[in-house]
Amino acid sequence: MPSLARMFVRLASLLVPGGFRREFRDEWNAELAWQAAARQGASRAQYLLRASGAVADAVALFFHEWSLDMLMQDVRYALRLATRRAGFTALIVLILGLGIGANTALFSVINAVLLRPMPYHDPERLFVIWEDDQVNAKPRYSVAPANFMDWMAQSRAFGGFCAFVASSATLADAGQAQRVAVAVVWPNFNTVTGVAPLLGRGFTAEDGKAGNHRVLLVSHAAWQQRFGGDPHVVGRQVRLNDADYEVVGVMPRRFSLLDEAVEFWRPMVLPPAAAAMRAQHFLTVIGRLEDGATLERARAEMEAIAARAQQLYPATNDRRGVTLVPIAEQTVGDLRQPLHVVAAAVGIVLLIGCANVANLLLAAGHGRRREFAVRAAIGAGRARLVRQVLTEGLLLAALGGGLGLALALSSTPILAALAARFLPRLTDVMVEGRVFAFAAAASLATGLLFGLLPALQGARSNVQRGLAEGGRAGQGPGARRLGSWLVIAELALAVVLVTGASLAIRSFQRVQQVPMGFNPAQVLTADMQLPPSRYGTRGQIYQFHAALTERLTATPGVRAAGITNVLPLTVPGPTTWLTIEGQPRHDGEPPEVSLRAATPGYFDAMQIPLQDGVMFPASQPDDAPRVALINRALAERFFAARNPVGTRVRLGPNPNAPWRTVVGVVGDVHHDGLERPAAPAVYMMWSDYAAAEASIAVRVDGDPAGFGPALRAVLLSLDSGAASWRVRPMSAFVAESSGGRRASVVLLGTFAALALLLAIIGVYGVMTYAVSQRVPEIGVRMALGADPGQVLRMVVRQGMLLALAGLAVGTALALAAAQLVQTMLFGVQPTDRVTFAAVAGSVLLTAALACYIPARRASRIDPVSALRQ
Amino acid sequence: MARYNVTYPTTLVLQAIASGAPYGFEIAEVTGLQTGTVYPALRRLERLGFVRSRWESERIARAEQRPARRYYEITAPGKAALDQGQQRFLSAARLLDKPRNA
Repeated sequence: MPSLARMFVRLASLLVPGGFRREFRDEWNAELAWQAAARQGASRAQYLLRASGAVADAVALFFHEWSLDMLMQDVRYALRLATRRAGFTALIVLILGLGIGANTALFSVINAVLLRPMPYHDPERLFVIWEDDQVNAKPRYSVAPANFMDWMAQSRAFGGFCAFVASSATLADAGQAQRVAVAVVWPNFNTVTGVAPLLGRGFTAEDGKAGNHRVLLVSHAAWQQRFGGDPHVVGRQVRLNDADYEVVGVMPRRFSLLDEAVEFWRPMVLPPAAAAMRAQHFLTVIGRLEDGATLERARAEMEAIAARAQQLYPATNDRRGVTLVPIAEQTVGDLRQPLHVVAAAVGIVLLIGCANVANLLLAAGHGRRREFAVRAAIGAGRARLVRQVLTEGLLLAALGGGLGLALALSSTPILAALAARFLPRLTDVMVEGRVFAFAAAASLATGLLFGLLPALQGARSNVQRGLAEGGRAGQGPGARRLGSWLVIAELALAVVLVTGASLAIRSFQRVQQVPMGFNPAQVLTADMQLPPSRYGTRGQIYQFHAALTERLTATPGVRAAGITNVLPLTVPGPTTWLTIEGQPRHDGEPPEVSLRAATPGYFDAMQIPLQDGVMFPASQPDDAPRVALINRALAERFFAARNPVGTRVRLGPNPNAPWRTVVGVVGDVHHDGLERPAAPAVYMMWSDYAAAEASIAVRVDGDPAGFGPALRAVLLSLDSGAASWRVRPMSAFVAESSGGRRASVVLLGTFAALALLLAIIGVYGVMTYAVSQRVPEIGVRMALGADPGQVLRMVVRQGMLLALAGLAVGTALALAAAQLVQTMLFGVQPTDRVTFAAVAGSVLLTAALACYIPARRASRIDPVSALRQ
Repeated sequence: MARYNVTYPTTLVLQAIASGAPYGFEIAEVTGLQTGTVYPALRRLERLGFVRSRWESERIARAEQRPARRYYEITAPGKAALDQGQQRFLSAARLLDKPRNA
C-alpha cells in the first residue's frame, strides 16, 4: 500500500514546477511515512485518500505559476507560430479535422440510434413479450390471441399489455391507389406506450368495439407528407381498403412502435372466435411493468402462466414458454456490436492521426531546440515551456476540432440518409448538444494526446547543449526513440484495422457466393392488391391473376411471369404445420414449415430449379386430388432416405384438411437472407391459395426496372382499382439483404485504408527525418568505402525493423480483436491464415516502399559535401 | 496588510497551526479537511506570508527513524488574518449553530 501512495506522489510531482519538485516529494513522503508509522489504525482507504491530496497540491503549485496574461501570451505566440508555418499547420489541422469530423459524424449516428431515449414514457419498463417456441428453437415467436388474453387476465407484475399486428392497406389518395403500412393495435395503445397524441385524442376501450373501430391515429411523418401538416386533420376521412376511417389524432414526431414505416394505427377488434385461437400466432405484444415490480418477478410470473397453459392446452402450448425483451434491446439490440466496431475503427484512425501529428511536432520541436534553450536561459521554467508547447498543441486541436465539426455538420445528414436504410431511429438526426460536447472532448483529448509528448520532450532539452549546438547536430536518441515507438504504435493499430476490414471483406465475399437458389438478374417484382369488394372469392382472384400473367407473357420481351404469396428476402412469410402420411407425429405439435404458394410461371421467372418429380399444374378441377411441391431442405429434413415424391402431406392444424400429394422437389431458396440456411418449405398451387394481396415476378429481356411502367399499365388495363407498389428489380432486394454488411465493409475498408495511409506516412516521415539527421554519419561511412547499395540496405533494414515490430504487435492485437467480433464474421475463421498473411504482406510491402524513398536519398549522399557540413 | 479574503477552510487551517498542529497531515486531522484542501491552502498562505515553513532537524527525524517533516508556523500577518477570519466565520458559525441546536 505505501508503494501505491508513493506512486501517487511521484506522478503528481511531474506537474509540479521544477523548483518546488524536490521539496514537494520530500514533504509528502515524510508525511506518509509518519502516517504509516504513527497511525497504524487508519484504514488503507483513509491512507490512500490522504495520499491522493498530493494531486490537488501539485495542481495548486502548477497554477501558482500561471496567470491569464501568460495564457494570452502563450496563445498569441502559438497563433503567430501557426501562421508562420502555415503549410505545416494546415497539414496537421487537416489530419485532425478529418479524424475528429469522422468520429463526430459517426457519434451523431450512434447517439440517435443507441443513446437517445426510446420514444415512450419510462421506456425501461416496456418489454416486448414473445412466446418461446422450444420445439422449433424460436425464442421470439409471435403470440397467439388466447395466450395474450391469459396474460392480460393473470399477470400482476405487468400493468398493461398491448398487442398489435403489422398490416398494410390500400389508401385511396388523390384518385390513385397507394399502399401504406398500417398497424392494427389493441386500443390501450396510448396508455401502455405512455405517449399521448400531438393532436386530437388517443384510442380508448370504446374504439375496440366493432362499429366504433373505423378510427385512425396518423404518424407524424404521414401527417406531414400526406396531409401537408394540416392542423385541422383531426376529423378528416381517409379511405383505406374501400372503407372510410376518421382521423382522431396525430402521434408525435419520432414516435414509432417497432416499425418506423407504419403510417396509420387503427384499433383491433378481436371477435370471440379469434380471441380463443391458440394455434395461430400473429400478435406482437408489449407490456409495461407495474411500478415497483421487478423484472425477475415479472419473468417468474409469466413463466408460471405459460407453464399452466402447457398443462391445460398440451395440443397447442407444448413447450411454449415466454421471452421478455426490453424494448430498446428489441429495437437496436442487434446493431450495438456493428456500430461499436465501426466506432472503434474510426477512433483508431483518430489515434493514428494523433500519433502522426505528435511525430510531426516532435520533428518540428527539434528545429526549435535553440529557441527553447534561449527561453530557458533567460529564465523560463520547465513548466512554462511545457505549457507553451501544450498551448500550441491545444490550439492546433481546437482548429482541427473546428474543421471536424464543420465536416460533421455537413456530412451527418448524408451519412444519416444512407444509414437510414439499414438502421432504425435515424429520422432527423441532428448535431445536437451531446454531439457538440463529444467533438469538444475529442479535440481536447487529441490536443493533450499529441501535444504532451513533444511538450515534455521540448522542455527536457539541455540549455547549454541547445545553445552551443544551435540545433544543428542530431536529435537526441531519446526523441528519435520516441518517434520510433509512435510509428510502431501507428503500424500496430493500422494492422488491427486492416485485418478487421479484410475479415469483413472476406465475410462479405462469402455471403455474395452463397447460392441464392434463384436468379435475380432481369427479374422485375411488384406487390399488388385487388379491391376486396370485387374479388371476394379465391376463384375470382385466381382468374384475375391468370389473366394478368397470360397478358404479361404475351408481351414482347417478357420471358416468364408468375405469382407468389411472398417474395424471397422481403418478409418472413407464413408458416404451417406439416403432417406426413404414414409418419407418426412424434410428441406434441407437428413440425412447422414455411408455406409458399405460386403459379408454375413463378418458378420459370425466378429460375428456381425442379430437382425431382414434376411441376404442379396451374390449376386443377375442384374434385381432383390436391398436389404440392416441397423444397430440398424439407425433403432432406423429413424424408431422410426416402423419395418424397408420391407421399401425401397435410398442411395446418385441421385434421380434416385434404391430403396433398408431393409431385416434385424444387431447389432451396434463401428466403430469410443469404446468411441464414434455407428453411423447409412447402409450395401450394396458387389456385388453391389465391389471396387478394400477392406478389408478381416477371423475367424480361433487358433492364427489368425499365419494364415497371409496362407492368403497371397491364395491371391497370385489367382492373383500374388494382393497387401495385414496391415495383423493383429482384436484384434490389438481394443488394438490400446484405446492405448492412456492405455498408460496414465500405466504412471499415475506408477507415482501414486511411489508417494504413497515415501509418505509412508516419514511417516515411520518421525514416526521412532519421536520414536527414544521419547525413554526416552516412557521409563518413561512404568516405570509408561503403557503397550506395549498402547504405540503401542499411536504411531500409532500419525502417523494416519498425514495420516488423508494428506488425507483430498489431497481429497479436488483431487476433484478440477478431475473437470479439466473431459473430459478425460469415464463413471466415477469426484466425484466417490467408487474411493474416495478406495483411502482413501488404503492410510490409507498403512500409518497404515508404522506406525506399529516404533510403535512396541516403544512398545518393555525396560524402564530400556531407562531411563539409 | 494585503487585502485578502480568508476563506472558511483557510481560517480553519490557520487556527489549527496557531493551536499547535504544525504538519500538513495533522492539520488535516484536526480540521477534518482533506489533504487535497489543506495543502493548496498552505501554499496560498505561505505565498501570502501568513505562514512560513521549515524542515525539522535531521537529528529528531533520525531518532524517530523516519524522514524529516516540514512544519508550518503562523506569522504576525497570519495572526491578523486569523482574527479577521474568526470574526467573519465564528459569527457565521454561531448563526449556523443556532437552528442546529434548537
